[in-house]
Amino acid sequence: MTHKILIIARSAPYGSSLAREGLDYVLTSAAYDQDICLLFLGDGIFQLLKGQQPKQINLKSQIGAMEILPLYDIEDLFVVEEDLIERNIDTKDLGMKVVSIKRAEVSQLINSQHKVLSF
Amino acid sequence: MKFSLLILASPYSQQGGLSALKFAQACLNQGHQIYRVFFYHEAVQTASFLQTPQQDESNLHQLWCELAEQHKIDLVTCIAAALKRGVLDKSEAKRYEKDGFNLQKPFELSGLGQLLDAQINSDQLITFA
Amino acid sequence: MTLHLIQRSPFSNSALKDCLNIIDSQDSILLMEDGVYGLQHSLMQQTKLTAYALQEDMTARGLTSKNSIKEIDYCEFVNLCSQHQHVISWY
Repeated sequence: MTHKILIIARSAPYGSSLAREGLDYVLTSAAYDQDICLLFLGDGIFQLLKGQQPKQINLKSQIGAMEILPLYDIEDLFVVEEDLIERNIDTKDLGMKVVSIKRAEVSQLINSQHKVLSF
Repeated sequence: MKFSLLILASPYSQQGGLSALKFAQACLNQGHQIYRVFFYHEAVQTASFLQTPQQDESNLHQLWCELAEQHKIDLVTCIAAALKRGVLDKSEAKRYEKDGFNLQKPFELSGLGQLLDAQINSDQLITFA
Repeated sequence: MTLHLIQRSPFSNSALKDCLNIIDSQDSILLMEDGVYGLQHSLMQQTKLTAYALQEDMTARGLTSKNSIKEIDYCEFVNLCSQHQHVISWY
């Protein structure tokens, strides 16, 4: 049976390996044919910024690794409007196609899932 | 109910591992089942049998081993997260031509598929970070 | 219905704030580990949500219960997890 799994990404990339290790879990789950959607919450939004060049700090690109998500049929990437505004980010600044929702809609998204995990 | 635990916390720098042990014990006391304990992120260091805390400190590795042996709990360590942090079992040490190893049963190395399996097949997966 | 586990102090980490931003009125909060310092924070003093704090973590840190936040032990923690659809950790 395919399960609807929501992964909440709350970590900024690079400063900690959580963002990367969370993404590794997303890709594993997708490879096992689960129905995965991603919610970028708070600082997690920074994972999606365009123009990341982490080679300079000797780390692998987070946004680069996320480009393969559509190949795994992961197309539901949610961001929260208020988090974007708070961080002075426009959806044009993001390197992936996202769906913008309001904070008040997040609990509905959570409730519609079989499983939820946050990194 | 079937519970699984995901531990991310670094064993001696953070409280998460100790909280997870208390939670696991409380689950078992109430007749619940622990389907799997999965060690990921910094928590993979819990799997090293070389850890040597002072005598008046808890030895997390030993406490998990005792609980696992008593209740037949699956202790799985993420192989990718463990190898890069220097936690290897005998066969990985051989494969990468290392002089020693520091992981053995009841701990085992496996992939993230085991975490997915735990998430799907447990009623709750509780994260201790 | 979700149980939110707050595992960090709200004075140094955004876990509690991020959680409260999206929480549903039917959800519950459990303060644990350094999350129990939330007892001292205005965010928790104002809340109308069902809130719990892990008694062992409070006692360890010399904290006492404030207003309507209920102190629970690990046995009740396990019960709460079994009574909610989802359990989400914030750290």
